Formats: sequence, structure tokens, C-alpha cells
Amino acid sequence: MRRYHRAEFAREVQVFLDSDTTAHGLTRDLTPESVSIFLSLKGAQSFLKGVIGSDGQAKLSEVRKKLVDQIILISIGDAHVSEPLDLRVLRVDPSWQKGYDLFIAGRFQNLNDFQIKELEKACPSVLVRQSSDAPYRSSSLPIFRKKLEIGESEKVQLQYSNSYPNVRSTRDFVAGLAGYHGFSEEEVYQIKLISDELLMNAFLYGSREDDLNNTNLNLTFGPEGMVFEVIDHAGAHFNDRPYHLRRDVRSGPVGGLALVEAYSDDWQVEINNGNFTKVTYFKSKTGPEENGEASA
Amino acid sequence: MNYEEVSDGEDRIQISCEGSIENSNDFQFLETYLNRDLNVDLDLTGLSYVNSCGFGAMVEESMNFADKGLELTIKGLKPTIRKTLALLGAEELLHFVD
Repeated sequence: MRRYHRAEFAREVQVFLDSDTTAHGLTRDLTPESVSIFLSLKGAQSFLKGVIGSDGQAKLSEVRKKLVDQIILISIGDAHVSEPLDLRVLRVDPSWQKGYDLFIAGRFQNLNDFQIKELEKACPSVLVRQSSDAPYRSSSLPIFRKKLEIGESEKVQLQYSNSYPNVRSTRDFVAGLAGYHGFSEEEVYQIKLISDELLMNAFLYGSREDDLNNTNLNLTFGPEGMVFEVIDHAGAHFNDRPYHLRRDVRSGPVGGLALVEAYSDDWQVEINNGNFTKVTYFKSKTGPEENGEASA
Repeated sequence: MNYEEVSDGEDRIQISCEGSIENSNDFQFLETYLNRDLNVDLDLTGLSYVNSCGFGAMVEESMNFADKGLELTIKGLKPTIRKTLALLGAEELLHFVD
């Protein structure tokens, strides 16, 4: 089983764009197969030459052309990587920051043992070698940046068949429960929004054409917050899922997973290859006073 | 989502919307006014929910109007929804008048 975690790390990344240009960024998403990086191109003047428009901004389409489908070299973490890692860029999106900050997602290509060891050094809490020829797995139970104690809790489990109306109904049900359990109006809106994103992802990308065409949902509500788990039954497809962090606004959804990142305390993805994908998020309750709402 | 024309001027129309925007085609009704070269003032006070598809639809229509030199103005959007637009960097792409 493979577990891909949202982990408690943030590692600096250097991306070697060409022979004399290095850009710097940050990753918090790293597996032995793929990585996503927030990358700043502000210092990459030679790389940006020819892609700056009359307004002084880099033309994203030109930057994409220079990055996508090219092999670039990266190094990750504090450990110096004398032999950079090969990465094939799959997506390049503008981040929600202005300027030359980009979100890029890529897949590693045939890492050798040395490169894998370097990844382990960069993120030891995430990657553990199980055996010399076995797939990698996490060293521990799910790792979150922030531990959420939700106190004595109430659990809700449900299963529904995949359909758009069921996604909407389930989303509204989750939001209603959150309101019942004392989340503020703003928090309920945020919970509705990110539950919508994850339930819709499970519907769109986690459906199977057989009798397992269901989605399972586990909700746990406590005095301090809630845990949301959605499980679909098509785990093998996760790597093919598109990154929605910030797409061209004219071409489709904007920032679905960015919303999950922003409005949850933490979240993670767990894959059981070919069997299921489970996405979990935590949301703590700030209470009406901190939200500027009057106490009842 | 439901919408209603609340006033009709020579080159400008005011429209009130309520419900939710959660599909990429929820704002396609604005194409009618775009094709008639009308500026549109949207009152979204009655809008309770917008998801990421809805945000994309709002921005896309706003840009379609701007491309034709027309205005698509927005007012009355709930602060929670507007905060999310700002988070996504999409607020600046829309023409708010409040």
C-alpha cells in the first residue's frame, strides 16, 4: 500500500532552468514519484528574457512553453544534491500570488538509488525504504502539520451512490451538521466549499463502472473541531487527477485544492493502489467570539 | 441560480441573482446581453453560495464583457464569498461597485 501524505515539512527547492539560471521555490508535496513546487522566477532574468510582455509581466504561455515537456533539474532540501534530480514538468500554473510565482507539478523519471537517498535525506519523515525492490511507503501513521484534538466526539458514517445530486445533498448535509455542532457561519461556508471540492473530485475521478460505484464519508465532530474523510474506490487513478491549484480562469475551475489548503487546518491524501483513495481534512472550531459573532 | 431583470436602460441593464453558482454554465445567460452590447449591473445580494466552478464562471464572463469594451459590475456579494475570491486572486478580475 502506498500512502502519500501532506506532511509536516516545507523544503526549499532549487530548479535549474538552464545552464546558468537557477530559480528558488518551496515544496510541501513530495513522493518518490512526483513533486509540486511553488516556484519564484523573480531572479531568473536570463530565463525570462523574451517572455516579458509590454506590461513588464512574464507571459505565462511563453513560460509554459519553456518549462512544460522539458527535462529540468532540481534539488530539494537542506542536503546538497551534487547530482540533481530529473523531473518532467506536467503542469505550470500561475499561483494566486502576483508576479512571477508559479505552481508547477512534475513527475520524477527513473530516479537512481543515489537520487532516492537524497530524497530520503531531504524529507526523512515522509519517505522510508521498505526493502531494496519494494515500493516506498510512509514510516508512520498519517502525519499532519497540526495535531487536532477534537475532544469527545460524535461520528457519522454514510455511503452514497455517485451522482451529482448526491454530491450536492451530501455537501449540504455536511455543512448543516457543522452548523449544528457550533461552527461559525463563515466556517460553515468554508466547510461547505471544501467538502464540495473533495466530494466532487471523488465523484469525477473516483467512480468505477461496476457495483462499487459508491463513495464513503466519515465525519467526526467534537468540541474543538471536525475530521472529514471521503473515500472513493478508484485509488489507481489519483496520479492522473489534474491539479486545480490555479488554472487559467478561462479554461475551467479555479483553485479547488487551494481552497482545501486554505480553509482546512490540514489535509492529506492516502492511496491504496487500485482499491481506494481517501482524502482527509481537519477543521478546528474558532468559536463565535474569534469570528466577531455575538455569543448566543 | 435564478435571475431577474430589475431595470432596463438603453445600453445598461440591472439584474438581480439569487441561489448559488456552482456550474461553469451558470452565468451563460449573460451571453444574451453581451451579444446585445449591453452593460450589465449584477446585484448578487441573494446569492448564498459559489464554488470553484462558479468563481471561474464569474471571472470568465467578466473578462468576456471587458474584451468587448463592456462593463459587468457586481455588488452585494456576501463577504465570505468575496473573501474566497480574494484568496484565489480573482477579486481583482471582477468589477465591484461596493
